[in-house]
Amino acid sequence: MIEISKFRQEAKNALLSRGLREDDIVVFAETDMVTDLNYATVYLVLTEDRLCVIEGQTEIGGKPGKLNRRDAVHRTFSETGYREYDFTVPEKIPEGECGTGAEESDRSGDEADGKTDRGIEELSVEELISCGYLCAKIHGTPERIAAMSRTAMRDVRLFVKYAGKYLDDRSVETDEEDFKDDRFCPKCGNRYPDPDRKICPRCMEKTKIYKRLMQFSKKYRFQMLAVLLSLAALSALGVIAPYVSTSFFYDKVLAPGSKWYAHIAFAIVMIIGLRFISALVSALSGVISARVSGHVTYDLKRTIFSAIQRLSLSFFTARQTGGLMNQINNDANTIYWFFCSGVPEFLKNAVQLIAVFVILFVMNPLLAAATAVIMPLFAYSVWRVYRRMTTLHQRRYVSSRSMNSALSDALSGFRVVKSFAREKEETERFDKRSRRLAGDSRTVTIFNNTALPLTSFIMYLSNVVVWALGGWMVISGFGGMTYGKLMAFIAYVTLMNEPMFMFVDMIYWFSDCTNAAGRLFEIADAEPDVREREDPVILGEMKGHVEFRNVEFSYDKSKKVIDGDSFDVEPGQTLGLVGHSGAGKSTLANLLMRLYDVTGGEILIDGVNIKDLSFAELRRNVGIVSQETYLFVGTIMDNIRYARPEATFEEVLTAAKISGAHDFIVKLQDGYDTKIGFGYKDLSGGERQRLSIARAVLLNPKILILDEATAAMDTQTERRIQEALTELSKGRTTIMIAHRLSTLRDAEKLVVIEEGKVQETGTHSELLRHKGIYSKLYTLQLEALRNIGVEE
Amino acid sequence: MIMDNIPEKGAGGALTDVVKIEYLKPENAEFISRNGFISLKVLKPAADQAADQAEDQTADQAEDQTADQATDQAAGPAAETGPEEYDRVFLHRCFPNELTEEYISVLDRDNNEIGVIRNITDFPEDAQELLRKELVRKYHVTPIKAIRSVNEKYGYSYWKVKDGAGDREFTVRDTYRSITKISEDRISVTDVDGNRFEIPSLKALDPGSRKKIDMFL
Repeated sequence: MIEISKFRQEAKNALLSRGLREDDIVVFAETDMVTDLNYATVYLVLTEDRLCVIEGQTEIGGKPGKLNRRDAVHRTFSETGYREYDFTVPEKIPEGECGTGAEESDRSGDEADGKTDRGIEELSVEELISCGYLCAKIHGTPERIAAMSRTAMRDVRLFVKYAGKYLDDRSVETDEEDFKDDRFCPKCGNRYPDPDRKICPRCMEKTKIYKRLMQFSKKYRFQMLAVLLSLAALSALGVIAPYVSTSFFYDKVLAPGSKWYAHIAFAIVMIIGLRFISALVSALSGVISARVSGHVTYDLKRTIFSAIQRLSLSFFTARQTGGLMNQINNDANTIYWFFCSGVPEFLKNAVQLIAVFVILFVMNPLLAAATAVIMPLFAYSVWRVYRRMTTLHQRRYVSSRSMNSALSDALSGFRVVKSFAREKEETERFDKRSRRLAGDSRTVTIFNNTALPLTSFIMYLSNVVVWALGGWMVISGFGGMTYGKLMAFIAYVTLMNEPMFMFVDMIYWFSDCTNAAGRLFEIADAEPDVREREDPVILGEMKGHVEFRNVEFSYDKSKKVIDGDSFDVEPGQTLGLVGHSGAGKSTLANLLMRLYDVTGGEILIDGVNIKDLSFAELRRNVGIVSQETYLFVGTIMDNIRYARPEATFEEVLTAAKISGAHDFIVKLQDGYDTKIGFGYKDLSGGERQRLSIARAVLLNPKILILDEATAAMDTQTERRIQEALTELSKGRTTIMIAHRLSTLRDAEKLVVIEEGKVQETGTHSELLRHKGIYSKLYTLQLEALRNIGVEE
Repeated sequence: MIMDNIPEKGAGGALTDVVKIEYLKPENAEFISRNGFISLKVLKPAADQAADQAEDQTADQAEDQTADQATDQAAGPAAETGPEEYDRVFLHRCFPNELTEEYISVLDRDNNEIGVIRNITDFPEDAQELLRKELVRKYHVTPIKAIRSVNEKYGYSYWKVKDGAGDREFTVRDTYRSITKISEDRISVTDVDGNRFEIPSLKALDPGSRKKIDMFL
């Protein structure tokens, strides 16, 4: 049995009651909707001669809350509907006649593709907006057999695949890849919330992450220690200060007959001195923190950035660049907080809390015990108020984000706003969001202004309890309580407020940090798909023979973008790749550059698999000018020299001349030293392209890939550069991709690609004689050009 | 400076004169049910049909070329008349948020547009019924009747809701972006798998449910 969905006990029972034994089943899958698009449990069963659909409802019993552990609960299935589709193949099929008949049935499978002699044809999934149907034509009648939500679609698709395969040639072979269901957390059985990130928030081993974070923190142990020491000094002073300014002052200095009586000046100096030292230490600790913070965030950002740079292109295409940018910035800050603020603050507050408690107990155990009961109660009620505030803050954050996006949208699209005269509408749009933000801000401020006094009042109440109880003690002389002691006691109780809140807040902070660290480690642990061989083959002088041998490639497993392509280019020759946009031409170029690795077959340079070459050797010898012309912020000189920073002025000049960039560069005020890139001089599309050609020319590679290199230029410029490029391609292998077929006319070989497959190969004139795809394309283009008055 | 005195069509006259959209009407199109699947018979004037074929070719093959120029030389040979038959067609709302029964694009098996229905009420009752059924089926989403809880954790949110039939759980990634305001009152939520859930009316939602999602709106 091909078990696509889990064949559980209740399914086994349901099938048995319909007379289906486990041995009879060829393919089994489960889906979650019936054909009227209501949720249900539906079993799809393919046997040798039937397709059965069993509909019903599953009751999940057992303890509530145990829902997560899918298999640990008791499930019962009650059937509500049953259909079977008998697709017994009519007798004319020669299968029974020849016992071995493998090729026989193979052939009939091929020929009969879509004919009625299979009983079932066109087993397919019809995708709707939010759900889908399993459709089939059975003995010529189309039918909707079952339905599914998007969640079950994967299983149903596999059912279609394997049932189709079985019907074709009775094959029960399976592809292991299809059954690697990594959408569920293996531990709790829940879906991963993000299919690209195999992290289950419920099961994330937080202790493991913290352990790893602490390991990581070894790197910053001196910084953490410095912060910790300064904080310790600060809190020590903080703990002493109340004693001196209250208990000592009232009971010793102001108490007649004591040793320090009337030494007011001394007491004042001491109090001021302590305050001054506190201020000094606090400033010092600020300086230390600032230094440490700068250093650590820099270091973290660098760590994350270099981890990202190590990864292959596929990592970036799967994610949004904006998200990554945020990640580098925010995560570094969050983790910094953990190391240099979170951990030391936590320790400091913990120590302070304990120290204060000890002092309180030493001063007066009874009063301390009362406080220990009352304080958390008050802290809890204050926390409730705070939680409401968090919600309000969050809402304001959302409004401000929406306003900001309107703002940046209107500003960066200013040209469009102006040219369609939409200033008024944009102002209104902004106004609307701005007003909402103002409203939310007002709510937050009002809440702050009412809630904060309220919380202080609650805190104050806790003090009042101490006042009342302590006051009574002072008057009755119970437990040796004095006025000064009471004042000190109250001062200490106040000292406890801060750590108490700190711990409440910390819960949120720590969860943020866990998330950031999780992402950081995920990047650090990600394996680049394209990896360099450890002991690469050294080619030395490259001749430039390129061969694609049965190359296959797909971005995801579902669809092959390149499907078994083979062709080669002799050293020094030019190969033209022709095909519609989306046919896979640029993908072939990317594969040769090893931006991705082939998923089947191999690519050889001078007979050596490119996977065996070092990255340095491969990329020194293969240069590309692509459709995408990215220029970095810097001078034109920097940009041309990007691939070869050691190139001389003259080399840069020559390269620019070849690419046709020189002519426009010399017209710029600062020549080659003109700053370009984001926020600087704006270059036109054609100019950018010429610079990127110059960049590739300067690299002077043995193999040159021109991927629509001249697409953004006017005909005149293009022709001039084309001449230069033709000159350049002499003596080096060139792979040229172009829409305008006339530019490829002189290529030694043309390869026509359609939907990832090589369709035709030959020279321009051979292909014209062949009268295939190429000749059709060529005549059409020629006609078009003639119509607008251009003669080739 | 604001466009006050420009007529509604825009300053350049009616755009419909420039390009012709193939509108399907009862006169030129017949929708037939085949066991619940829609098939279509289209009557086309001969010249149009040939032009269409030529357009298909050129649009695909040569992008820098305009279709008009190619038609001149390709229109010649193909001059067959008679209805064109499609054994299965697919419907697609052009403006799914605003118009449920108007401007319905009719596609063939390869997702090429055969034509557009302006309003399905243009068609006879039985065809209307067929089309309506198919549209309702295609755009079926799970309605949310009440929200039991929304838990946010590490950037994902876990929803427990009540739909027509019972309780349902789903997970949403990037919560703010997965919630779409279809109108001021109507909200759609897309989960990690691409399943869509819809709150048909925020106003009709009970206050408890409303409060749970307020933060995301």
